[in-house]
Amino acid sequence: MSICSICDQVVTTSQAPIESLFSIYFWVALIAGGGVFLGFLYFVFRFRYIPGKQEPLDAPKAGVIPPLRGSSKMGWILALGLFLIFIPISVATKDTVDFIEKPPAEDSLIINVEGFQYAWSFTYPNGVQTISTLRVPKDKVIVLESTSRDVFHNLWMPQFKLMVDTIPGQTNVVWFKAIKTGSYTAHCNEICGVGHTFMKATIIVQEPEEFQKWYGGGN
Amino acid sequence: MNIVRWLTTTNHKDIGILYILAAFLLGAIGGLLGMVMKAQTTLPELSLISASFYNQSVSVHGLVMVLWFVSPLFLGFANYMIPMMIGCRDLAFPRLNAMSFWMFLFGGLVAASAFFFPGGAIATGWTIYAPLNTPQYSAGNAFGIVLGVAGAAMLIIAITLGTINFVTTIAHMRAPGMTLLKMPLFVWFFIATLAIMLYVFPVLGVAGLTLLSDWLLGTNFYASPHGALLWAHLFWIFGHPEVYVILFPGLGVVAEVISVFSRRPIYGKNIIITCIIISTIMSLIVWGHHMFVTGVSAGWRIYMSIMTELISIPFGIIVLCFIATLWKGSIRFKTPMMFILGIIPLFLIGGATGVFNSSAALDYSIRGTYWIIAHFHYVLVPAVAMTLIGGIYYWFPKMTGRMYSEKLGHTHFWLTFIGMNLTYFPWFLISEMPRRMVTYSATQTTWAEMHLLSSVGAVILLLGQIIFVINMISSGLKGPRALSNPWGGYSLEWTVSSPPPASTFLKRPIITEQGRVKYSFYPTSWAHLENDGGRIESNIDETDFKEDSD
Repeated sequence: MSICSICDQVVTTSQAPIESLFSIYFWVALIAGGGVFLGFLYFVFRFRYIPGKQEPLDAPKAGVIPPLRGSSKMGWILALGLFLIFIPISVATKDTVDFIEKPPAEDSLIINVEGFQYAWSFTYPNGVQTISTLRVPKDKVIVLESTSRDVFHNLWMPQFKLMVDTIPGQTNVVWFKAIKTGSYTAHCNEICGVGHTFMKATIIVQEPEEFQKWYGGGN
Repeated sequence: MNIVRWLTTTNHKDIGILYILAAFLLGAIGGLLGMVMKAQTTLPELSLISASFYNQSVSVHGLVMVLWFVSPLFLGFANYMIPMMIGCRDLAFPRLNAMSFWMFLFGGLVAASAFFFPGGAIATGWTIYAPLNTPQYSAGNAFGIVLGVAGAAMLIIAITLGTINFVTTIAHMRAPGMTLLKMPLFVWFFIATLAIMLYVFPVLGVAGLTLLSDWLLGTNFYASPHGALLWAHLFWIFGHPEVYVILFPGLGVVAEVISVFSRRPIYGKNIIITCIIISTIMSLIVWGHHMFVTGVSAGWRIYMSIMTELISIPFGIIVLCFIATLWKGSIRFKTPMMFILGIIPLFLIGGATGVFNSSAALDYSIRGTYWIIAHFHYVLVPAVAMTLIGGIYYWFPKMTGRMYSEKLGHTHFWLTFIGMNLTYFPWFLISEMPRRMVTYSATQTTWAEMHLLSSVGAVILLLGQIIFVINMISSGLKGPRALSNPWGGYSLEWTVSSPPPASTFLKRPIITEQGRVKYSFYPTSWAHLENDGGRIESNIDETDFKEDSD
């Protein structure tokens, strides 16, 4: 078990940039948040009340509105400091969004995904339709054109770090390219009724030849 | 103490106490539903409750905690404290205030009553996403949805009336000399809450009424082709600012308590006020980060990503100012301060993980998972619930005239702090698990370990809250008498007796330009205050803090 399981083995190409983006965020958060936390601990320890300690001169007392403390210059310094932290992660996010947004210009397999209460149906270009099992070849760009027959679902492929909302009346597109064969579980990730928990699909990534044998070369 | 008085009261202090009691009553319902869910997910493949009841629990837990626990809790403080803090006798419209309270309470009861109807309570998740919320897809859940939304509509009326009341009061009824900058930060944070509520609750009203019309009048707003996104937009235009609606009053309590118990004025009051104003405006234009994977355009997503990251800046500054307040202070570790210091590291975790969620790219891997619920429990439990509970301890002597038990208070804090971390942190580590799953396969060993750990934490958390209730009841009845200003606070509520008389001020206080509070009736106001036990201009009596000698 690692930090939020994001450091699992990489099984798709589109997963790698998300993993590295996560670690950028993680280290920025750890260093900035950890620094503030240590400073906070020091303050609490250093300025704790010890019997006999003198009250600060400007201690609050009833009937006196305390004077202002601190300068607005400090506000600008803090704002600038925090702003600088956000520049690298914003740029990294923008790059990753651009990458995930566009399927690479290579030969791809387009599969129509339809969620319905409570299963997934996958339709291949040659008309083959499967329920609850998505077979894909390794090393090929898979484009999922996803929609829903009834209510709002979400196809969540945890091992790929990838999800897409499947919404009735619209088609959302997401792509991945698996680089490891194996069997993975996808879940529905948006509450869709009593069967929500059990609305799963198995994603089977096969060697291209094996996949072709099953698929029958219909396209 | 008679019942008719409490049913008919229009006094802001009585209504404040009614709000707080109602909040804890409804909060207990929400908490118990949470415990039911924890019990169900403790071990894999349990079936203590049905999937349908789990969905009802998850939905009502969310709605009650956000709308009927936290909101009335801070409205209770606001009712009780704000007229005193700004030096006026009552709210501008006392009877409207009473109406707000009863509308709010009946709204909550209407929504919860659905448990006793066929089909049970609302089971769509607290986000009530379309088109699952329509008659086409939830015919069996009709009572739950219609009663839930009708209850929410009553809440919206109550909130809107309440906001108007508070805005009028703060704008027009401040004591002479109580300038905007002299107002305590609690009032400032509450103004931000009011501004956001005025903007977003009508949006929820529109969403709720159109949904009701789908159910009752046969319209078709939400099962139509674009209904799903229409609902998502309306819901999150309300739903995201709502986070700040409930966060700001909590931060207001932090600002008061951290200053009084570190014995220093709050650091950078004008910086904090600027941050409040900026983040209030920004809070209205960041809702899109809830919808990153709905297929909305990439440009819009980048915009929402960047805005969401930027809104962390004012909150970061506010927290840093709170920490800077401690500088050269003399920190007293009384129970209110324990809660307020305790939430700072927790809020850092909640805030930092929020930055992850602001990334449109990372959202492909965390939206709607246990990572998200870990994140928002790390924001809402410390920064909202624990701060307000700190506020209860802080103002308990003022409200009841009695001191609570410090020993039980510290026990409550440590059980809450440890239980809270043990309950919610494991959820970060199972980020691949979708939320709202009634059970999970035994092959998921990590999920099982984390849920077991989390359930142990939930039991500790519950124990802490039981101690809290015992402390409140026993101290409220038999605690030692409290002085008018046991903590050495500065705001005006500490200048009157504990508990304050029904009509707070004999004469209107006047605040001089230097910030001194005077009563026009008493030329020698200092003497008056000192006779009242206010201990003006003297250091805090050491005996008050003798428990700190360790």
